[in-house]
Amino acid sequence: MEIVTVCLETLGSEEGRAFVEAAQPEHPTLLDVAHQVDAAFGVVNIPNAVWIDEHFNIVRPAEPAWPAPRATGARSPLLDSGDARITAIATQATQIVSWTADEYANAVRDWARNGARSRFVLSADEVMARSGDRDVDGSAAAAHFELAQHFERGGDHDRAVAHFRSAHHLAPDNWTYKRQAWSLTGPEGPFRRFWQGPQDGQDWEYDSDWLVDIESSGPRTYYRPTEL
Amino acid sequence: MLLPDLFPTSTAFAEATGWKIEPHGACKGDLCLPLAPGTYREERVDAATVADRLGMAVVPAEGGGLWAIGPESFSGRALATVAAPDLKLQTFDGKAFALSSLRGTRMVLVAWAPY
Repeated sequence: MEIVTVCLETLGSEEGRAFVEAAQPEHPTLLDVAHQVDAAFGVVNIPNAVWIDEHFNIVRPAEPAWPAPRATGARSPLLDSGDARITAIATQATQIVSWTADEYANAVRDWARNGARSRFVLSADEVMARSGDRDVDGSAAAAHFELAQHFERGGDHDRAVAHFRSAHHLAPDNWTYKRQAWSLTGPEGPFRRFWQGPQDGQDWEYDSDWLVDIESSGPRTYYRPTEL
Repeated sequence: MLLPDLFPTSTAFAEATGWKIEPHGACKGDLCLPLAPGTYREERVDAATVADRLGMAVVPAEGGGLWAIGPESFSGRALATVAAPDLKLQTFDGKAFALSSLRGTRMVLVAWAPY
């Protein structure tokens, strides 16, 4: 079995490099500056994982793949950041629902041992059924998101924002579209990419932000509910 | 898929969308959907017609000069087939990497981001 990580980052490799170097992974570590993985696998929030078998068929679609913050017992240092917005974000994040401590890792181990006989391998019909809804609006949102990234990488931020806004409007449940866009305009400093919202004294280019949205929808549905 | 016009080569269309345009239709994995005659001519694909057949949105860029075609939606689900898409990405040290290079091995693909 092989683990492959893919960093979804419009801005390129430098933003994620520190994390990769700190982890010193032995598995392939890939970069996806165009978010191809989003559309190809139905990834709508990160981190997510997909299982692909020896025959190059998907046997589990995109789903969260780590324990819930509460399950680990670890306290986020962001709760003590001293910044009100970051503390509020961290407080919401601790309420996010995912697996218990070893639940997902044990499922991966079971697949590694038993292959197609693993009880965690899904049928083709179940994989497609669990892969998430997509209608023409969802397709249009992906197209707008691709255009937004194209313009952002080319330095045309205004046109990028117009397309990011359309993507958010057409696919309001897609957190990846929002988190990527909102991460591009944070204040300088250690929380730049995680600020995800307006700053005092500055116009905000979007209709919503991370805190507003998660306080509206609730952290329990931050990741699409699923089961092993 | 970004296009300067709506008549890409069949190779470019397949690489960007995962859908191969065959004489009998548009195919991905073991799934094929028939296409109207004339959709594929002289190595070029009528992308707007194929997009309509597959439920792919065609979106013009702000200011013009560019089009984006979204992923298929005809099935109503993000995955219309379980055949994994053969994405071609780069490693962090700049080397080309095709997901299909791991065919024959079980793979857990983990998407993450530094934000």
